[in-house]
Amino acid sequence: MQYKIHKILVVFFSLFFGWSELLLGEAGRAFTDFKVTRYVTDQAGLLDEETEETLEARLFRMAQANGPEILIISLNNLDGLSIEEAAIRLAEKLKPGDKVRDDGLILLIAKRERRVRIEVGQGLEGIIPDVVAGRIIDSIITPHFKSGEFNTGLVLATDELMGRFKAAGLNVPDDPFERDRQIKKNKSAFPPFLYIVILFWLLIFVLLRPFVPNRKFRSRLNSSHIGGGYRGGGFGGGGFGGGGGGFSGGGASGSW
Amino acid sequence: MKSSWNKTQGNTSVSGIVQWFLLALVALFLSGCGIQSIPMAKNEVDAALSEVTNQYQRRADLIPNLVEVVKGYASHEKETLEAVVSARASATSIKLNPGDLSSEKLKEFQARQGELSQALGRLLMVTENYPNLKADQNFRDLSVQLEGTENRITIARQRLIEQIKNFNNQVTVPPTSWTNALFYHHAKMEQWDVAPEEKTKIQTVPKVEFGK
Repeated sequence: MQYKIHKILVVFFSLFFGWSELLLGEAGRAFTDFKVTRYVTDQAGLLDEETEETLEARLFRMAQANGPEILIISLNNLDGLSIEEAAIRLAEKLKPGDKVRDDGLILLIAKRERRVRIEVGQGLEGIIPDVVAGRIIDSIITPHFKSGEFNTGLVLATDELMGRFKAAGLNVPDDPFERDRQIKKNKSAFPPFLYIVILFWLLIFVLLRPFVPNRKFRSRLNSSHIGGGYRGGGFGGGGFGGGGGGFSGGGASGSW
Repeated sequence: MKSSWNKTQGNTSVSGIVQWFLLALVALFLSGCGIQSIPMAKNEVDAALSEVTNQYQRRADLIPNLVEVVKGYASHEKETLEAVVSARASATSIKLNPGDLSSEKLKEFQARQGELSQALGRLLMVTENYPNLKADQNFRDLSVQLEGTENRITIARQRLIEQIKNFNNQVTVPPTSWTNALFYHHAKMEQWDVAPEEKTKIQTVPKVEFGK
């Protein structure tokens, strides 16, 4: 009680000077009120639900396995910004990728302007230099988008990116179902049970290889696998990875 | 209130005041009243400046390849090509150091980079006339790299401007400005601005003589 007054004054002084620090802090760059909570954000509605969920699962698993974090974002329009500006603002706001490794990447699509950009984090620039990003856009994304095949285009682009990450030795989990696009949804299944089921089918596959047509088998495996994986998660605990803000503007843009 | 406080303090009133004073002082410094944040802000500016010069250098490094590829298809465009080569040589001959921010050297650096931007712009306009060149994979790769580098330059410049602003805030706005006056005596930094040459490049389309 005796020291109450000087305690109050101490608090007052700390607040005053601390508050001044707040005033001087950097104003954040807003990119509208656009919310991103998943790895695939399809505002423009370019993807069908199956593709969106599969991509989400793959990107989530890669992030969980301590691999790079790819965000796929489709916007209705750019609101007057260039796609480069939009991409860097999103990168700075969302900070995909690990804080130390800077292994984030954003695949941004703007529907109205028909622009696309791959924004590459500094840690990935060795694997996806500007030229490679440009080629992925020119040879995979643009041709498919031009003929309206947004699903295929994005899936193949993701394949290409993840393939390169894997070839470079990054943590990309094995995904035997990468090439299979026929997904049947399965809503139940607990993970431990799933793994037993998968093992069982793998055994059957090995034993009955000459007799089972590939497609049918893989789609069955797919259906029992996809259901459990990520539904409980969304994306890694409370936000994307670990604040990988290292984006220096690398990547490439294109149109369709 | 003061008198009642004295009464309750009794014979510890002097050490009470001293304690109070020390606590306030500690609180002041613990809030980081510039002691840490000013040098940190200055370091951020230096780092941001390095990044900008890095990216400009990266652009300069791409140019010889670009000139070679263009020569392969458009060797008649001697003037334009030579303009780019000499602008590049002129731009790369200035090396900026951290201390150079508020100096004539910086203005010269920006002016030369601006001239290089203009020469490059003219060259790329000229290439529009050569569809074979534009279809060449090397040329396309180089174009992608150039665009990427220009983007990086833009972003690096924006960040440098942010850091300079932040540093200037630290140095001019109280209470950190008091710390600066007491301990560091840093001058406010001049804000980085786009060179006049570059401004004209942005605002107008370069006029190109299609010498055929």
